[in-house]
Amino acid sequence: MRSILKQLNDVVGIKGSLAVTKDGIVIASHLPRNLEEDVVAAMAAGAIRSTERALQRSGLGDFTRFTLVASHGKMVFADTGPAYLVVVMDRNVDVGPTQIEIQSAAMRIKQLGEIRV
Amino acid sequence: MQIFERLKRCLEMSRLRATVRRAPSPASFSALAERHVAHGETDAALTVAEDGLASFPDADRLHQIRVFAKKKSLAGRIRDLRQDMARRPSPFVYTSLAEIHRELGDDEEALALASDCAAMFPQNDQPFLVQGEIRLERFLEHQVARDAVQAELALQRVVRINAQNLKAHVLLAELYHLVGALPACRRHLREVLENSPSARDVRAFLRQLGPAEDELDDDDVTEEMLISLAGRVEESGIFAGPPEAFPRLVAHDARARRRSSLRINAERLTAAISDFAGTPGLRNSMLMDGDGRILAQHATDAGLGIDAFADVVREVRATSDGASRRMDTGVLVRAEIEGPETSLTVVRLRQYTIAALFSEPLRTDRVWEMVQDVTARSLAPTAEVACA
Repeated sequence: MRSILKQLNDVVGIKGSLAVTKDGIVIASHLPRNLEEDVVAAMAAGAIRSTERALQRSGLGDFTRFTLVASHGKMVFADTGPAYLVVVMDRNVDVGPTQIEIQSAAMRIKQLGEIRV
Repeated sequence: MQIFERLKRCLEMSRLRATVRRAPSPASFSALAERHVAHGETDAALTVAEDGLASFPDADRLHQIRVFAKKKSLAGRIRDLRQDMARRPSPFVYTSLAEIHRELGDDEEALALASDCAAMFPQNDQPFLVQGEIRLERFLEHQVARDAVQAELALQRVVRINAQNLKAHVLLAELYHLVGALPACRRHLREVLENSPSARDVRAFLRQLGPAEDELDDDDVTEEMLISLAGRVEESGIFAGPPEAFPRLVAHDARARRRSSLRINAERLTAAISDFAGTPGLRNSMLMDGDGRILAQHATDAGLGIDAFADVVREVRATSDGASRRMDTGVLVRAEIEGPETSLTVVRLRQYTIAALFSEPLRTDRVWEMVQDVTARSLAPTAEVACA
């Protein structure tokens, strides 16, 4: 898992990534020192849970990918089955081409099978 | 042959320029800027990208072109400074590099450099000044309380290290003016006047602030007070003291100024949203005001009920905006949620929220383009602020 995250972080514009369960438990992470693992995990779990709840309430079902573009950064949450891949990116990175790399990393995490935390 | 090629290029450029004039959009500005890049005209590309960003501040492609053009022109300087940083690090080298990154629009890198410099040279005021300036600009741009608190921390550190740093006093005065801490604002302006008695703007502004009846009060703003005052600004989206009233003593980043002068014309926005109806694949579209009230909406038979859609939009906006603020990445610009069958895009446009629920053949990037077009049509000059 760590090697998948490390490889993903080599993509230009990606600052860090981590795999987290819906409960906010970190499975693996590769973050720069200015990003605190606990903060990112808690924020990600909270955002994923609230969004899924809202989508389910209106009958829209789960999401496969959630891209959050903020004024000074971008984040992507991708469903990998048992966990979510969270990717933190620069504001100026082009999300389009990067999404392919993220999707590929998510697929590889999915293929790892059962995750024990 | 060469003449023929030149003529062809000339015609192509005038066609692209005409398109920008006739139908300004992120796509038309990008097309023109990209052609300038292809012809090696970096300065022209930069001008076009910046013109485009004035109308479409969140256009990703234009941001990228701007950064590319700037980086190209500053590449030599960046390389030299990086070499200096490795050989003989100094506050000057760090802060010069940080300033370049600010110019490139990469505030995160600038803040990281300033933070490294502050750790290495804690008795130098410059890295703290860079941090304070960036945070204040962010506060001006997005009214996030955390930025105000961080700006104050950094700027207070500057004046503790160097009480004569007039720029820090000016910036602190501006910050206190924005959150409504007037005694503290006056105190820092008086510091400026003491060191620079000829600053007429400052004198006039101090007069405008009125007599200092609270002169004898303890004018130190505690952290709790600042959190509370800045929190009020964040909640309401309105500064306690209008930014334009503060004398222009320090030139802030042009982007922040430009953005804060852009206003949305609500009527134009409502009309533009109605134009979404009928787009193939679109199931629901909605425009909400800052309180979550529905201003305009459209739903097809395949879409959700109005209330159900409004609920999901409010929740996604609140969650995403909260996550952005917690991560210290500013405020929400847009949330794009893709599911197996349907996708949802929620865009924050100042106090308004635009949302669309859609499925194939409509795609997320196309929805974002449509929203940017709507934004451009709804921008009104400051004189038309009344309805914003």
